[in-house]
Amino acid sequence: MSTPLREPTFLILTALAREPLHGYGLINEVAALSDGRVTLRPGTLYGALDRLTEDGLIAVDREEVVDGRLRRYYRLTEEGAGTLTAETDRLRSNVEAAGVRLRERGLGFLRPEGGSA
Amino acid sequence: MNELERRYRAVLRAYPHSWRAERGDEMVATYLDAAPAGRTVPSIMDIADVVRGSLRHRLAATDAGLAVRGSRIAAELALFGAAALAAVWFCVIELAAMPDDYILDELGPVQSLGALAWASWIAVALAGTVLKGRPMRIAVGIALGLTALTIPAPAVVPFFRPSLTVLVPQLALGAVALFLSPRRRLRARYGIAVAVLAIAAIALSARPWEDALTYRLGFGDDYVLGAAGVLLGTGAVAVAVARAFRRSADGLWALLIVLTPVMLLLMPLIGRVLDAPGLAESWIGVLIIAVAAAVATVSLLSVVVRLGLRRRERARA
Repeated sequence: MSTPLREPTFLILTALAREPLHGYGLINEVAALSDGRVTLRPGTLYGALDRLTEDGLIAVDREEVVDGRLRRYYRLTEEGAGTLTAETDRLRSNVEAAGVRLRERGLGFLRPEGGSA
Repeated sequence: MNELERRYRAVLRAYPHSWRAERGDEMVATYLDAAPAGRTVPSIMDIADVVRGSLRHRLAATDAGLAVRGSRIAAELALFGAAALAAVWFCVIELAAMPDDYILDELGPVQSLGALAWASWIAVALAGTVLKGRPMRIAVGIALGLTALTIPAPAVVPFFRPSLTVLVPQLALGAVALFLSPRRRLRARYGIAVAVLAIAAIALSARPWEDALTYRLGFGDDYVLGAAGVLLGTGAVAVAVARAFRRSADGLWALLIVLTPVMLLLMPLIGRVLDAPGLAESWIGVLIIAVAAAVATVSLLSVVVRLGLRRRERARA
């Protein structure tokens, strides 16, 4: 999969970085990670899961049936972890570059709390 | 299975059967997990989500490269159609004398403002032997622009222009020709140029020199447009079939793309057959073309998408 990743894709990979999750769990985790800003709907989620599975970034971990409902859990693959790491480094580098430029303009709001420019 | 689950399963029929067999249970479970307690019917947002997701899934099954290749085949067909028609109009009508009762002047050795547009299309076909890539697309763009300018020009200059039934299909063909490949094959470049010269020579030799002609009188431009539509449509079908034998659906894409110009070309003839000669210039005629083009486009697109889905399933298997 080419980078930069789209935000929902980045958040799905991030959500799976800790533990395997099923569809509804992923929707909740993505909402939590983005402070409620990104709310995935199942149609969007499963489209993304299809692409990520085809690209080898995630894989099916296990299946469970709970209250008669099928729950398929997905896990991050090694390739997925590598892509997430690369994207995180890229975003971090961009954030640091933006911080430096803003400090040069005298805008100190990117300073850590209690720190100095 | 409760009522809500049954309804979600009904909505999920928007997805292909193979996809539902693999993902249906899981997706229904996710919708049910996310549904608030007491809900008995899927929300409008959920229905819209399913429709959007299924469309995206079906379109993702089509290969972007396939569409590009198809548009390039269509562009070659359209360029040939535009230049061939231009050669006929220029040689048969523009070089003929105007009827005596016409109130507008002739434009030097030619009849109307259309001559410049036709000459530009013939020039583009010939220039294709030396021009490639961006310069060729610019040349097509210039011919297209000149054709478009012909429509409002009589408002500012006291000259005649070809009828809209002649100019509109030419604009449609020209728009498709903009998709020419940056690396056109030699046989297409020279083939079109030679064929257009041959058509011009035949048109000149077959022209009834003694008669005064215009686009609407005595000649039957409806038949010329209709013949061009039949030939272009048949050519596009032949290419689609030939490409299908090579297991490629790009010819179907090409057919899909040239369908609208073909229908615009056929419209005046259909109007004549239905004893409604003004059909092609009426709103009803435009509506018929729009509906027919939409139906044909959706039908063909569904064939292409089905082929793509089948290929994708085979690749997965």
